[in-house]
Amino acid sequence: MANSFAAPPKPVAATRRGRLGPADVLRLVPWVIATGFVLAALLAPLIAPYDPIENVGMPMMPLFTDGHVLGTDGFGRDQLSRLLYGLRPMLVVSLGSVVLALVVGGIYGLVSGVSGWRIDWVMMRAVDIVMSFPLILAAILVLAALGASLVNLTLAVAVSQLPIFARLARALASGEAARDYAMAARAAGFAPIRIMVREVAPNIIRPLLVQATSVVAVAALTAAALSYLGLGVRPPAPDLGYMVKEGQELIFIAPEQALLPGLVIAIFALAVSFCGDQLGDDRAVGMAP
Amino acid sequence: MTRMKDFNAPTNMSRRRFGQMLGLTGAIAMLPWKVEAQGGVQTLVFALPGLVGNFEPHTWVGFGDTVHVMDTVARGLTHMDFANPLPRPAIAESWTVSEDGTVYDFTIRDGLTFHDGTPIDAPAVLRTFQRMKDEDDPTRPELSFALDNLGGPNVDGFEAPDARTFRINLLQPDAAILGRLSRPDMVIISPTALEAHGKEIGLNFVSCGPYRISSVTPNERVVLEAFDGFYKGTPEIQRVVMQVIPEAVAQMTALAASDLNVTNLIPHSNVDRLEAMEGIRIEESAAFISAMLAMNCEAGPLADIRVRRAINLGIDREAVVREAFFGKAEVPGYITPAAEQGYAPEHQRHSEYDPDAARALLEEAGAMGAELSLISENSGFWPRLGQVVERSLNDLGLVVTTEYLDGGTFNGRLFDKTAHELAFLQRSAFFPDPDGRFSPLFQTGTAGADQITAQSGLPEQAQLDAMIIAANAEGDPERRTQLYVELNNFMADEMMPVAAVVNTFLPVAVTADLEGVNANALGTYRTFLEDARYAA
Repeated sequence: MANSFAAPPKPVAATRRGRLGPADVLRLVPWVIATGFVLAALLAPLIAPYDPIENVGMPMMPLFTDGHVLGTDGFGRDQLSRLLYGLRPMLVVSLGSVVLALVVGGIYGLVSGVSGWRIDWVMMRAVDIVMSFPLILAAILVLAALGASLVNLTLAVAVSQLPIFARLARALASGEAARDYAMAARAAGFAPIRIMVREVAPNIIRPLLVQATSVVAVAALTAAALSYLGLGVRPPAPDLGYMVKEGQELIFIAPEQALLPGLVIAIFALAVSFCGDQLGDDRAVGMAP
Repeated sequence: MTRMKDFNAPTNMSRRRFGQMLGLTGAIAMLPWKVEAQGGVQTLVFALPGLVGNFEPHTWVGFGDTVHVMDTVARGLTHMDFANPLPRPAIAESWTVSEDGTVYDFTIRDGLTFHDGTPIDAPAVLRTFQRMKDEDDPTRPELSFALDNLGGPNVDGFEAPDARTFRINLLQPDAAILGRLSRPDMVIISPTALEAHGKEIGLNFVSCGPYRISSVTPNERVVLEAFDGFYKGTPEIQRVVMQVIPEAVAQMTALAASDLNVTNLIPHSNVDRLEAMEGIRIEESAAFISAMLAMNCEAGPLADIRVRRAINLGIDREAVVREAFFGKAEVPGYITPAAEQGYAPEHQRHSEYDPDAARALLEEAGAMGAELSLISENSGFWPRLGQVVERSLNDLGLVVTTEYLDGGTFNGRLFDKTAHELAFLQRSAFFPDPDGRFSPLFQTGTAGADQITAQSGLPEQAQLDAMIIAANAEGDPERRTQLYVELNNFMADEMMPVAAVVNTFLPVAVTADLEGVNANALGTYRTFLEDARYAA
């Protein structure tokens, strides 16, 4: 019978001291891309050539037009400026929602995992209920109740990601709570909250952070999908998901109108996903005997 | 030792899974949309935005069921062909009007039958109209709005004095009644089917239109077969397949592959592109569809007519035409579009763009910097329109924020004067009569006047009501036209509860081998396919 364990990934190794090999350079690519996107979003007011909501040219000017390297959209707004500014809501929502889901879900799972079987059972069944909804539907329900805005979109995506962290934190916390050091702390009479905060939490935070990196890509795609459905930032504010929607009807006339924002979303999600995978791999290596 | 799948483990999208999902999505998007082989029968495929499969004519189900299918399988006493200004005879071959204009006698065509073979006579017609009027009729749907669309309280009653005469008694003259009878909710239902199926007639619908229903698959398609007993003769195309294709991109792909023959759902942005494609023809129609900006006359600064006038003067309608409709629209006059009776070129002054005058009015009213909310639907051309109008108004010095809402939420707020300030409003012409844009929208007692614009409380409203009633009752066409010209001017000059933003049409795309499609009707949602034929 074949061993179903996958071989552990090779650790990052410099070919020589102080020098990186081709594999290491390749591993840096997603980090560079993801960092580039974050920087572009942060510096958008400085590097964007135009105001993203102002008509600065004729509608649908083609790519590489003088003064508009990525052309203009159907209203005559500079497409490059809109892409740069459009990164901001995507990053805010994907990173913000994951941080929110990590904190709330992590604490929830920690309490559940350490508290024992009755409380644990009730808390996890509540998570099951949330998980029984498809992630996107859960997010739509939240937005339907609260209305469309950047804050609510972040909240909606966070709600859809929350069970992932709650389950992981609970699994890790219950494992840690059964280990000798936690048992010893309990035997020494430490309060359960202290055991949770001082003993168990520090030991589950790293895998949770690794998971968070992986989930950013899913959060970005969920945010883009919700914006595509008109549940995100209000137009005319630039938003990549909504730009895909606006460009979709122009797909036969000016395909770049939909493809460019779509490509940005896909590249960002891929880059972050690769980053998450690398962190996961590194963690697996770190945990290997 | 084998590794068990941990179903409690958190989901994590691997690179491989991500690539698979991306590839699958692309493959689905690129799949050519195909209709099934039609077995050599001459077939026309028409795109529907949706299909519930309930063809109950007396309640609103959706454009697919209530208009497109209904127009193709059913017919009423009169027929508006959109080529002539007045309705043509349909199931009624002729009619007479009493001297005081309150009694209409319709002579029913001899020898016609419904799709199920039931003869069409005056008692059969009477049965349909009684169903509209009699609230205790066991076959009547719970939300029946048909009588309202026929004139509501103005309809005194119906009679069938003999086998071929059907009579409508009105309380006061209604010059638009013949047009109202051509609406898709005024079609005649087979009394045999009505008695057999009662309230479920919509699921077993039988009427007397050019095509009969062969099969229905909700959310997918309805297949129709030509009816050889139709009053205008058997349609040349034997089969019509009305296929649900809600996405514009999918429609255009299907059209290019000749899997679709007719659609009136393509975006304005694609008209030029499709026109340049071999094998596709675009038919542009008269601009019967009006987009208006309703201003709640009781909401904050909008209670001041100077602010409403400023908003009207501050909308850059040329930009709307260019950016939201890609040139496939026109700057309106006021309520009545140029394609309808009651329009006069002098109405264009009500849609002038004069931002300086608008700013002066806002300054005078002390409303510079006033915050206003605008609600809009989040589909179709509305988001594009919303962005241009919002920009125009903000350029004046107002602070307008637009909310883009789904249809249900939008309508809920539109019909509640406490839940909106500015709101977009669409009016199309199921029959092109000027009253269709006044009495249902701007007369006291209607949801339009009481809730959407809340103009019922304005001191000028009583005069407006009287003018609407007088114009609609006027029998002389020339005098009637003049009354509607004055009505437009009065409402714009004295009240300004709405700003006319743009008039447009639904671009109709057909395969080049198809002739006889009624583009004017399709341009305002009506669907008359009986004269369609393929070129030899």
